[in-house]
Amino acid sequence: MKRKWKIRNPQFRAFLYLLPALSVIAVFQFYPVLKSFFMGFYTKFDYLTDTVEAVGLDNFLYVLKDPEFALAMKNTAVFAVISVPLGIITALVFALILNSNIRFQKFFRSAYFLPFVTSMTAVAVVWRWMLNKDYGMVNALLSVLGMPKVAWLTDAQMTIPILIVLSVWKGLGYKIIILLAALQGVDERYVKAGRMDGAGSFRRICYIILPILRPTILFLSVTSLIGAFKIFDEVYIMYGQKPGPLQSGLTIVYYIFDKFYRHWEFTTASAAAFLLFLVILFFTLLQFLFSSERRKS
Amino acid sequence: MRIRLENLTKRYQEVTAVDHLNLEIEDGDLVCLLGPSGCGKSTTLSIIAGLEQATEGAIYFDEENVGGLEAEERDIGMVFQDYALYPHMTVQENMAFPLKMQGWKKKDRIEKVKEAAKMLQIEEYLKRKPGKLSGGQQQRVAIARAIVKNPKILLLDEPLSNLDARLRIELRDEIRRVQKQLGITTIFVTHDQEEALSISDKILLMEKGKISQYSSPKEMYMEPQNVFAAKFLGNPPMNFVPGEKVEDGISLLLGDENMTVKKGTIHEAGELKGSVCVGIRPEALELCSTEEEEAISGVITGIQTLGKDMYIHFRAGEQMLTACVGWEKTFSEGERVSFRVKRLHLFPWEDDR
Repeated sequence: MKRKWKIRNPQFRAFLYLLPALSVIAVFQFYPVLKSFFMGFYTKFDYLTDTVEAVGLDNFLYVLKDPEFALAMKNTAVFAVISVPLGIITALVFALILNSNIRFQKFFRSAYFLPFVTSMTAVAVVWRWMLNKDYGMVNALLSVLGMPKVAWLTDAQMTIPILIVLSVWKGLGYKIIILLAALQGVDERYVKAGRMDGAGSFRRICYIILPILRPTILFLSVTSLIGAFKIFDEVYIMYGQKPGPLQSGLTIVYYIFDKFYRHWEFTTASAAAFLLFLVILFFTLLQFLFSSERRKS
Repeated sequence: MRIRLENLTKRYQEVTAVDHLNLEIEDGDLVCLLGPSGCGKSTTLSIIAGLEQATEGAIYFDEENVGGLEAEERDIGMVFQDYALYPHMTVQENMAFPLKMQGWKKKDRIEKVKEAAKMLQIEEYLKRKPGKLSGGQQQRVAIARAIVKNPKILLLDEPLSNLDARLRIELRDEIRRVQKQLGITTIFVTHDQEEALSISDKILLMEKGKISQYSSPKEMYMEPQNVFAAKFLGNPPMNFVPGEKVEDGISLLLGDENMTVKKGTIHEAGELKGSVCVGIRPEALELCSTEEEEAISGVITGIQTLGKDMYIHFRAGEQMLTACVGWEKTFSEGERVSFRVKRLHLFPWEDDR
């Protein structure tokens, strides 16, 4: 009988199984992240031969002093701070309605989920058409109601609100599904106990259901916040590859993209990308902190 | 507060869970809803609580019809089987919650909570979260939360079923004490006959959504009105033997040898003639000498020793019977024994008994 060759160490065996996936991640994720981090420090280098002659903090200083980066940061932050809570509150309202056993529940659930599975590019193209000043459906609808046309896509004041509405609508389905799952996990007995304790439906939601949903809401907040800071496709497609009128739609990722592809300033782009990474890392750590504290109590 | 149910009926698609229930509960009484699972006792409680709507019938608290009131408006305290304490609140917050909903000021809430906590001896846990408490402690908190707002009615839905035996006895005495102290009308749902017998003023025994018997525990045990009530109460269960009413007593049809009993107390469920179903509680069988007349004698088929008593299973003619005896004598299987019948119950003859 042939003896089978076997690796005794289970740790090592597990590592071998994980190796294919790990190597893909290493090549396409870890390496670029590290490389862009290091590239942020290159001040003098040869692009073709990859020889670095001098390193320093110049790129980071340049980015931090660049008024365009400041604008991108401001736009992104405003967008994130409004769209994230708004998205979650809207989703929560719909999830609570859907959870109350209304008719056609399954239909509504799929209807809300549809935007989420549609590609952002397709959605942005459609929105661009709908918001067109002269031929768009939105203005057509407004004129039926006797209201004047609005220059949705060319008015700088409109850019961030439109992006917020788009992101809330796009993310609604996913958030509803997550919240609905959490709501269905809320034990019926707490609701019953709440009723016997004299709490009407609104107060039951505030005092009993929402606190129980807290971990889910926290999770959604952090993931959507991270997503919000990465906003790019919407702007790029909807505004014809421009950062909106008067740069009103200039976001951090757009800034990075612009520096990298349009200006070939790889090192500046890398430095900006690393700063974005720090912002996201901060929120991720915040989530860890909150959830671990919760587990303790 | 008095509770009156009138023709209360609850139908689910095909099942009738509660079937034209009529019931009156006196102010300050503790009534147990007792019955096997699926008899409709929990549904009845849910309807009284307002958590479920009755298909038909009416519920009155004193003279007020509360059918149109939501659960949150009925001023009822309720304790659930699985405690249902809010996991995100401390014990104190849990107990203060009903008061908060009634709009009490924070200072008064804390005072009232302390009072209730003292009554149930849970003062030391006030700052803890429910997850850190044992089952018994959690149920104490749940009881305290139910009574803290001084409701007029207290409902308990199998509150002791998740606890171990020793704790169950401790807490049921506690519930009785608190209930007496507050003089609160209480309905207690249980499937445990011992629990029901030990704490109730009255027991409502239910079978398939209907009332089987509604009486005091003593009456229910000593004078069961039907075979179901007789079977459901008592441990070990009552013996049943076919019988016949004859002129000078009751003839027990044991198979090859019949036996007529003239002595002993006879309790009849209704006016009976001819064929009857005779019920004998195991503790109504008293050991006697084999020569004695009017004794049931048989051969021991099994012996079970249980705490203070010993159960003897024996065959008399074609009937298998159980008797409950003390420890004084030693028995062995195959031995012949005789028993005097102290008390028997007569029920109408049913073929499927």
